[in-house]
Amino acid sequence: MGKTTDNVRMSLQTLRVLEAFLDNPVEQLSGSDVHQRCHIASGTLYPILLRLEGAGWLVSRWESIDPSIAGRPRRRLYRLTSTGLKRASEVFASFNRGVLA
Amino acid sequence: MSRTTDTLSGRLVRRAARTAPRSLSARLEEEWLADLHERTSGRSRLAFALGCFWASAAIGREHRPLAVPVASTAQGNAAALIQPPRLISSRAVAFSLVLCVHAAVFYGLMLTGARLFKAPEPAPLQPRMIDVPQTKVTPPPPGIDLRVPPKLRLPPITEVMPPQPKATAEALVQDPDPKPPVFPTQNSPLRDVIHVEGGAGPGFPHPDEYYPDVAIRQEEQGAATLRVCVDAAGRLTSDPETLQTSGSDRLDTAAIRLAKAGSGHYRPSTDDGRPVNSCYPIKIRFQLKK
Repeated sequence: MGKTTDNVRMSLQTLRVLEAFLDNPVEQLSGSDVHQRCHIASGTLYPILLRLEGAGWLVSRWESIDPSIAGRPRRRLYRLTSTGLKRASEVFASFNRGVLA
Repeated sequence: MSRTTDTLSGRLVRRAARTAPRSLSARLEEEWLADLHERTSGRSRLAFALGCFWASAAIGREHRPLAVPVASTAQGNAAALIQPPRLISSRAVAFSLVLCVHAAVFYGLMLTGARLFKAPEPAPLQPRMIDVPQTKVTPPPPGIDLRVPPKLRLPPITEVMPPQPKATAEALVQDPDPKPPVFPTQNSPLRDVIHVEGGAGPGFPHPDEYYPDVAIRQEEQGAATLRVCVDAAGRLTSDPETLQTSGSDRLDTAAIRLAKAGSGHYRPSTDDGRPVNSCYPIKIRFQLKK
């Protein structure tokens, strides 16, 4: 199993999700965006997102659109917190990013 | 087809979201429907919808004891995701279950194996009648006295050769089985006849003279019992026969040679002191000197 850091299990999929956010830490990504970047199935992706959010590494908010006008449901957008950015950087520094190669 | 897939995927996503913890089901339904809308192909949508069931189950395992209101903010979600400590982890439970299953299977195999490989019980013993041939006991003819004759004191019949100091081995010639006195049969008149079997007499050769050198070197020892037939003059009337071997062919041959060489030096058997022709066993022992 993966390494546990602040109650976040550092599996390979979790590292991939974090990597997707670390590419642009200020960018807000929906679950679909993360899927397109790291190709993780929905059954694995959403539990990771909720876990990271519960640990304070991510925050989420609803997309600011009117679904009736946009013609689609509003998306849930995630972004790294300052804590998440710091911790994720530490994790990747400890792994030297080699695990993702 | 595409519309059908969209409808089916949407229903699956809603149903999956309902199986999630109640505090998160509304949020997950809206979030997953929005992400489902992003998928382009029907196959991808179906896979996404089915994956939502898996996600809902995983989230449900991690957030089972949640009792917080619907989380619509990051702080609310973070509070909702705090996991209370468990007394027994799911891994320990799974390990215990696997252990129990193995124990049950092993116990079952022990029981069935014991039945399969149980040794057959022996058949009960059945008594069986055996026909014993009955022999007719004929009474003795009248006039024959069946009284046991009185015990007689007899002289020793064992003949021991005089020791020869120069011999390398000590040999003894003796009567192997001294026979009791022969009593009269029913054909002879009932009277006491003292029968003394003969043996080696004076001048009988000593076994050391016939002890084979090879047997001495190989330290072979033993006693051969021969049957000799001797006349009243102490001469052999036939070739000696081996009744019991000494265990060595060399010693048996030497014993025959010795018995033949002793012809004329046998002490004949006597009936009431009268020499008679008879056959009797004689034991010739080849023994190394220590």
